[in-house]
Amino acid sequence: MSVDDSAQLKMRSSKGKPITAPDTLGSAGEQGHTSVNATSSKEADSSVSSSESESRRASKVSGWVKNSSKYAFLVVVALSFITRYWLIWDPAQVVFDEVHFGKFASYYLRREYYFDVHPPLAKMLIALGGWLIGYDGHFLFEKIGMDYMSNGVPYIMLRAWVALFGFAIPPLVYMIMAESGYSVAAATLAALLVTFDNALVTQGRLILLDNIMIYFMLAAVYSYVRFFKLRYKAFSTQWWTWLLSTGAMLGCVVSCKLVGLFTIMLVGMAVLYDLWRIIDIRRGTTMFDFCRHFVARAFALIVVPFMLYLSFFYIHFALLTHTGPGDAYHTSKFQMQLIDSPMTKSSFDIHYGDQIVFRHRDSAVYLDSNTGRYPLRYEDQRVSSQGQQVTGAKNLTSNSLWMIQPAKDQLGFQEFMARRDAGEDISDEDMDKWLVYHSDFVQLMHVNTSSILRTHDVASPLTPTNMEFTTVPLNGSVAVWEDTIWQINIDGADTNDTVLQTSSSFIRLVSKKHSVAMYTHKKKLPAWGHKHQEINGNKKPTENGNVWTIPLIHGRKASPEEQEEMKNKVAKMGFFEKYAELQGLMIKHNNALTSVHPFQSTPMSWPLLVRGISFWTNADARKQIYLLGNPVGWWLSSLSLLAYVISVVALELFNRRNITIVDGIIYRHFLRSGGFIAFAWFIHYFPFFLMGRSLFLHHYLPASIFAYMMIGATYQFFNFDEYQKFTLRHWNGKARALMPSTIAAALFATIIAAQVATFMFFAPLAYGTTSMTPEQIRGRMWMSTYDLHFQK
Amino acid sequence: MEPHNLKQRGRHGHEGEETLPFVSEEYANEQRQRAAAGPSYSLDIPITPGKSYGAYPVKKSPSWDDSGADSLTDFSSATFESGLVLGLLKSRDFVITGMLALASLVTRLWSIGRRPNVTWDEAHFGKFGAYYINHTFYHDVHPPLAKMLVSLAEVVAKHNGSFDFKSGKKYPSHVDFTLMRAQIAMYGVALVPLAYLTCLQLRISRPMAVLAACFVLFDNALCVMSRFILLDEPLLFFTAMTLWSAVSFQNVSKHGKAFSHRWWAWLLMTGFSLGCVMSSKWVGFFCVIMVGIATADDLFRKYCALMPWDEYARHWCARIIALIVVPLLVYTACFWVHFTLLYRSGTGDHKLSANFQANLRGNNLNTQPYDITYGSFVDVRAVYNGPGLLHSHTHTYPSGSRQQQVTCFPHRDTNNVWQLRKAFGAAMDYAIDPIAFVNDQDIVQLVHNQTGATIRTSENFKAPLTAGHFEIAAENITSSSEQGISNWRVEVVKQKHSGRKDKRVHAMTTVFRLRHVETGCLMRVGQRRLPQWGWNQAEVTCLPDPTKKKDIRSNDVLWYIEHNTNKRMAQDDLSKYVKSSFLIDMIQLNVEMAKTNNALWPDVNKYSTLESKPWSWPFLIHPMRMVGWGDKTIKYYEIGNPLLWWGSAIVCIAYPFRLLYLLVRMKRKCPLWRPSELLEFWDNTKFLWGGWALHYIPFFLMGRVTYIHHYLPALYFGLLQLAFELDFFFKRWRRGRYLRAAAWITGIVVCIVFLYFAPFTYGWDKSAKLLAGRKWLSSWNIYEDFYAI
Repeated sequence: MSVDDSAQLKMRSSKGKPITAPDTLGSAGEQGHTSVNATSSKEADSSVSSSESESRRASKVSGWVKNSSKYAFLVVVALSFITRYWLIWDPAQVVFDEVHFGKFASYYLRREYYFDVHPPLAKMLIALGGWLIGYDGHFLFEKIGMDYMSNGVPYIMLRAWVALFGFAIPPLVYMIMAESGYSVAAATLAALLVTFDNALVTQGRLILLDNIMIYFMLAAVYSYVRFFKLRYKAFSTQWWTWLLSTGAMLGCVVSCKLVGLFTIMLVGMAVLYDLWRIIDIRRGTTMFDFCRHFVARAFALIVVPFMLYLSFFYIHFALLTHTGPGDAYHTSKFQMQLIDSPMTKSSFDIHYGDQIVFRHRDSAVYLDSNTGRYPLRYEDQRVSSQGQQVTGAKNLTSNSLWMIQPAKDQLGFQEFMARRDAGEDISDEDMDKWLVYHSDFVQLMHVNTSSILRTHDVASPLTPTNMEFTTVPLNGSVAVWEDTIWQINIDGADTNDTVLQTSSSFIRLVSKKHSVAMYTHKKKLPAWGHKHQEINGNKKPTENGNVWTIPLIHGRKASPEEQEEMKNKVAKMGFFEKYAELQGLMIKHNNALTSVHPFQSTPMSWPLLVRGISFWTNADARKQIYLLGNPVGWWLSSLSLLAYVISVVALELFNRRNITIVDGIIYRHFLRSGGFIAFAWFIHYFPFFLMGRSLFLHHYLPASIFAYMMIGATYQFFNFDEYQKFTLRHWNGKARALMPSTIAAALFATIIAAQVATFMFFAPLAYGTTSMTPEQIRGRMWMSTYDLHFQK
Repeated sequence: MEPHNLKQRGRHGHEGEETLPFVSEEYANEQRQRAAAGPSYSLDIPITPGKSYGAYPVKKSPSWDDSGADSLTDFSSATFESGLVLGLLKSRDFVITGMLALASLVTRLWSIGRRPNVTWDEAHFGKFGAYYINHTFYHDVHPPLAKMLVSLAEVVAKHNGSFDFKSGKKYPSHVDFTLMRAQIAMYGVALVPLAYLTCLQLRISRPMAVLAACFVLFDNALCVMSRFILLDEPLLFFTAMTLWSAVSFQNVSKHGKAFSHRWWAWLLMTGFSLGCVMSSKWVGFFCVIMVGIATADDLFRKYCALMPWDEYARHWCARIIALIVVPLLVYTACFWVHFTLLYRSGTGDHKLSANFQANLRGNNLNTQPYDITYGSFVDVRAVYNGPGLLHSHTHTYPSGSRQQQVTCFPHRDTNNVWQLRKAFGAAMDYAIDPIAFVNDQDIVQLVHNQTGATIRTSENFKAPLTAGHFEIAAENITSSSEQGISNWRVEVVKQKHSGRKDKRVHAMTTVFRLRHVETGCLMRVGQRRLPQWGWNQAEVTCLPDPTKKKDIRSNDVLWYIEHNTNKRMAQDDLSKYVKSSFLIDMIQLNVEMAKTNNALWPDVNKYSTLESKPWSWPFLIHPMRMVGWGDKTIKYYEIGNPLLWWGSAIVCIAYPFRLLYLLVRMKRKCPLWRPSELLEFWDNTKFLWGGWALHYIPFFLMGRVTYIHHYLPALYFGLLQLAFELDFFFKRWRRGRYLRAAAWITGIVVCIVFLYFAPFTYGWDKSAKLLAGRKWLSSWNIYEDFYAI
């Protein structure tokens, strides 16, 4: 819905008579540009005549038709409220990802540091709701199905707060459609379809991020549409308001989830298209004008969102001041910034002869060994050394204690140990001689079995490319000796005078002879290895998976004075430094979310709604919440997208051969506004194909809203409503009221009826409030791939 | 900036609307006028010599070239009608081409046999070439054409196929590896004259065309990769052929007559080259896309130019035949030759169907008794694709009967062997009694050869995974009362060779069901895999009382005997009975190639100095060591000519911005060039830059391991693009006064850099430390090994 002068000029010349612009503002003529003046002065007559005919017609139509936009909007608001808030207190249990997002909100209220791959805004908003109603964050939402009532969580208010965003989605859809020049019928159709979508309802009434994200996304799109319509009043206050509002909303959406980047790309592409038309010399723009346009947009749509994004992180750090479960993801320096961090409590220098424990940074297992041996033959017929097992254990036991010994000066060391064991008081100076430094060569003795850690050229049990880890008795042969020597590499240390410390040193243990680093990964050994993680030698020592920490020294605890001293030594970290570290970790861990989830799905399956996600079940009451879109709506919307693409391609091909099928203005609106919607769908959907991480059906929800809008757009196009009669109203989101034809009305009624009926039919799965018999459940399996519970 | 632009616009405003020519509207109008005038659809815009077009006065016969053939302003269609294939080739061009070829020969062949060991991927491709001599079937990710060319070279070099091309091994005296390398190098040699000819077709001035050829000539990476028995040279050669013929076809179709002999010749040549390039390596498909996009562009222009429908349809048909059918035929023909040559059993047998294997000489499926008798040891395969052979092992079911598991397992294994015995009650000594054939409706028992257990099922035990089915297990049956539960009736469904009347069960050709006599259920296997305790093998169940026709006929209850062993029977040649279809084999082989290709994922735990990531290629960040790096050994380093790599990278990366700049100028009505020049620019760079982008960008999306030599096809396009841009610039700067000098200077500098890096290209047998000065980037591992900690 736009004026393209060039196209208009062309059309005029080709058809020989002027055609009314669809959205001529009365004020458009006030623009200083001559070319616009020229066109709009011609249009002045026609717009006068059209408004005359309109007033004639208006005298004939009854009042409710004139006000239908208002009524329709109210109906959408009311229905949206009912569908979202219907039995919102049920189930009174933790559902699906409430596990995460409820928990994160609690952490904000407890001010404890946590780590998550999503930016903080949506979670802070949830926490804000909790704070407003006086929730103290005592509950940690540990498992799906945990009871809210008995734990005293004000979950109804929390859900009602989050559902506000979900509730606002259908009205926003109406407003976007109305502002984009669609009739009341088309706008209502799109908004009602969104209202009665099961997936959006399910998602919209629980403590989840997606509805907040979608709310900001639609708000950004709405602002952009308003802004775009003011393009002939450039740099007016209104223009600036909507431009900045677009930028602010974009900042919010990307601060909810990084998926918001797609919305930024959508607006970005629309802006580029717009700028491309502005730079056209036939519009009379000077290069200076163009630069002003460019700078204004760059500021509002790049700088503003980024500032907002940063400021939310600023608040995030300001709120989360205490140590919490997210510590372990960060560098030691970062962790020491947090109040009560164990880093500042127990960061001791390590001396030779200390009995220490190794913990793997990423998987938090302890380097463990026990008297068990590797089996001679593995299942794939490879042979092992049959040496003592070295594994990664989840639990800390005395089997995880290793004594660190120097690889060289054995004699002096023995004497030192003897004195130490005898309980002699050793001076600090003497102790300092036995500090462990970066790049020292050491041996590690397993305390319980008195054997020494060794790696050698035997393939490890599960990973044939890596070296096996085992231990050898203390008095082993000389040939083996070289295998037992390790170099301590502290991450970030450049010089050899960095002392190895508990907690704060991130180390790699590299074999001197074989250059392999001690490594472990999530693969579990079979029963013979007690289901511990496999430990082996990684031939690429620089990899991230090779990093270990030493959480404690056996029998060493810090006195209060020592703690105070350590606290004072902490170097302060600025906001940007913290932010950069967190952002890097978010991206890294987001890409690493590849573990297979039973309900993950491929993007290919989403538009056809092949499968849903089980959110919550209650076996006793035979109730379940299963995230599933409205099949009728989803299939119809996918169909309308297909219809759109086919029509545009066909019409374009006809146009190229000078065959006109659809009137120019109708076609142009279809092409531009429809194209915007189609592109919005595309950009919120297609990038998922390129993502390596595990994906879920709810990733399609943003795109599904645009797909629903496309139903409205194609509905209007195929009814050939009177586009010439578009006028801009002053009230936000008021659509053009038209009496639809009988066929159009019947089509409208059919689609809505089908959508509502399907919604009701699947509602027990969306709300989880009704128990169903197996027959009823099987009746809802419209596709055999809907893996609902309680089929039997 | 602004007032100047406005003034300019005013000055040549009378020229009418100048929009981008490929943005059709204005172009369409013009073509409409031309359509009225005559049936020619050439795309050039007639330009009157001497007339001023904006800022650039046209001058005839610029000082840098007197031939006139290259001048943008002076090609009348007569020049092109009078012999286009060689129309541009004057006697001078023959001389130049010949000299370039000679220089190329020298650089590529210079001490080519210096390292008498198997070098780099010669270990693979030399070996594959030898397989064609031995006729043994092998499997590889690449299509066969280039490897067959390697084989041809080996045949010419009189190789008998006995050498195994083990990596790093010294060639024995009977292997004439120098001759092999020299032959393969010829494809690399041809690249240089081809670059020259392509540039002439792109209307690059002659000095710059020679320079372009020199770029190809003096690139160290292209040179070093041309000196070994590898697939890259044929691939590059066919890529260059494709570019040359596609560009030439564009010229004919713009300036010549459509559907003339020459037109057809170039079009078919393009199609043939496309077929060859994609039969060499699958990256050839990027060439197909490049030509496809250019063709779509061309056809769309014709469509918009209101070409009459019948003529338009003819254009379509011609392109479908030449650019789709012909390449597919070439591709298929290569596979046909591949299958025809490799008729002996080899390392790749198991990748293809049993039918195919039965036709390979020496494969154990090829030699086995055709008739199945009682007492035969058989491998039973499921017709349902995927699960494989009926299998059992000592592991038991964790629930249900807790007896030995019966599964399907895709690989050959001794646990797949079953003995066919007579039903319970009919005792028979299989070593002495007269031979009894197994017939339709016979009742048999299947006894596992390794464990002696017999397959049985019963209604009492449910299948572990599939609801409603019975469990099938194997059990050492002792008590005679239980023996009935292991009786199975053979129901012949199809006799592929002998027809329906034949009741006897045969190896390979008889498809049958196994119906449990007691319960009437059918032995069945589907997609489901047993969990860890069943080693993820396919679950075999018994489908109870199937009544639906769909169930009975479906593949998952059908079986056939893949291999039959019986000492008392004579071996048959199964290829008499079993036929395999060439097309199905070819498709299956392609699917397997794709699978193998996708399995080439980088191993994150392996430390590797060879792989490199696509982003590092254009700027030559990580060159590659091709051989071991000992001080005394002859070392080859795959490093390009840095000037050329960096230059072409800058030009190619800048191109989109350049295009954007041009478009903005058009939008502001102060275009840089005349429409004809712009069209020319677009039509040429869409091949050069498009070829570069299509051969480079897709690598970012690939998960498989990537090496620096994957960039070489893109580099070829990039080098020509570099020459094109130099030409474009110097033609305009002072009207071409410095063009010749620029070409000379650039050529000499490039040559010097080539010689400077030549030790890496021609082999260096001293310590790499001596070449430390050549380390221009800190990431070049000329003498340091960065991965050591």
